Amino acid sequence: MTKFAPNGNLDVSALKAVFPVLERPVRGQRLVYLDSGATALKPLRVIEAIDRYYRFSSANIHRAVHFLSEEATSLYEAARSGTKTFLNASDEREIVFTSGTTAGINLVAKSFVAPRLKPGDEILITAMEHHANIVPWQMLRDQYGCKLVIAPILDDGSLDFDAFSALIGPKTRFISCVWTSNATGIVNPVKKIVGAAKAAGVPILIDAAQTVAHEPIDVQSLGCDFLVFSGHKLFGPTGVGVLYGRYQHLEEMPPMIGGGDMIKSVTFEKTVYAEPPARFEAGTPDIAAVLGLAEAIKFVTEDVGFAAIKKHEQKILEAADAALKDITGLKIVGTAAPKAPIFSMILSNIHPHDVGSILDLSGVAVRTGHHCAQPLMARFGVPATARASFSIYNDEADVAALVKALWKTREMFA
Amino acid sequence: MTSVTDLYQAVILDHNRAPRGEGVVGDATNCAEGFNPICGDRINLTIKLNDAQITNVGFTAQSCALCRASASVLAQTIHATSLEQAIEMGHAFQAMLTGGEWNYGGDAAVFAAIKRYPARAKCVALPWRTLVTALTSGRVIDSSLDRNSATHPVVSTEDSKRG
Repeated sequence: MTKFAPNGNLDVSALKAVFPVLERPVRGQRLVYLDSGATALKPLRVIEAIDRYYRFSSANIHRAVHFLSEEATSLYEAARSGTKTFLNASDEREIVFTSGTTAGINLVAKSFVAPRLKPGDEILITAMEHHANIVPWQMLRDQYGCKLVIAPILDDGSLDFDAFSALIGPKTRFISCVWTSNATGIVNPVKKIVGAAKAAGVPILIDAAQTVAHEPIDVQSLGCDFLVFSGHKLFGPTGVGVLYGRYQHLEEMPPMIGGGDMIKSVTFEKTVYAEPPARFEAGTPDIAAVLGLAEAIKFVTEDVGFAAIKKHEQKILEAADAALKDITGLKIVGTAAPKAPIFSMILSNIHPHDVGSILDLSGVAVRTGHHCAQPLMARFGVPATARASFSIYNDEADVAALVKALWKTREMFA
Repeated sequence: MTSVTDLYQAVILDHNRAPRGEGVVGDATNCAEGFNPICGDRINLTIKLNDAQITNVGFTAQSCALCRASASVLAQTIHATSLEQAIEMGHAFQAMLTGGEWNYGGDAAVFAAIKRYPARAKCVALPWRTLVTALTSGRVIDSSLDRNSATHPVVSTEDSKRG
């Protein structure tokens, strides 16, 4: 039982009240925010933590003995400890604060994978990756002459697991795989995927950007080598993310960015790098954002709770799925289960940008475009879709508003 | 007028439904292709100039409704104008999208509402940017060459949102 789920069910109207953006009318109407897949809204608890840091604890970390600096340092390291617990990592030193998912993947690509590559080696990803989990590997391919291998997906949008397993071979040096597709919402069988990688002795990174707000993550039970996510998809601030890495891997990795706070000693002849995670956190980090992320984790785990989140989102998923199926000419891209509450939609021959504009003019905010997943769009033969992504502050009324606006779109183009 | 009918006015919906000038001008003298990589809008303009007068305009578009309607309005507006005036219109139309005046008549003024919806301005501007390129970049099709080998200048909007 939590503050926002006193009887095990989410109290959505109480939740709506702690997300100030929802109070703002958009285009003269109640805002129906269905773009949490792009970024989740921020609750007061997070906003206040950021405000509190700048108002009362503003100081740099790991540097001075004065009161405010010590306080800021201890808050920052407490955030690391909270994140470790959140992911059930075995050691706080396995938590690296980054600027986001993209930065985490790039760090692993350049500092862990690149030094191990030999010509002809293969990096395995899937056809459902976000550009953030494609481009860094292409950059390695072009620089080191390795091969980027793409595991196919099936027509329902799910990973072709048999093909994926069969593509893991003696030349596979690394696997990087998304947990939940941002474009379709399809949730990969990540335990099986990590199991296949482990069986072949290949290290694996899991991109949990789109998972982290929807289900609990236990990196030890999962057994992955690396896992990344962004704070802003978890109701936290932008500009902060987390790289979880097994300590033995982090220890082997050279830093990608050099500077202050990542060293043990510096002379003009030689620098000795700090141990992880400091080694990967050069320069003054976004301290306020890290504290905001820590608060977001507390908000989700203490105030809301994943059990209630999953139950609520499953209910919304089913309600939206049923209502959308009734709309003539509406096609959902990616229909496999299990799914996060994300719907990538094509409405007859109406261009997604027209759909997005008419929805916006009805107060309904959705994402339109290729969702940073152009290869996935190409796989389904569409340039773009309109994507509605639901979160803890959405209810059946929001589903109804979406459906009504989609019907209105149809009528306009009839 | 609701905000929906402000952006998607009846005139615009009509041009989208029944576009004027859709097709390829077989004996075109000028052509260009416009592409917006962000939304995938793609437009091809073929224009026949005869003695510095526009005698025929054709477009094909794989695009949103606003871009298609804008191309249709363009075809209608520049038909039978001089080369010089068509270029002027191309610039004036783009200026109108950020608040400028449109003094050339026709249906084009309906797109003035776009200034209230800047995210869609690129869709509407694309045909007109492509027009200016077709008429000014010197990409005149030499009819003695194989049409397929003619160089089509490509207008691209690379500068907006990333993905």
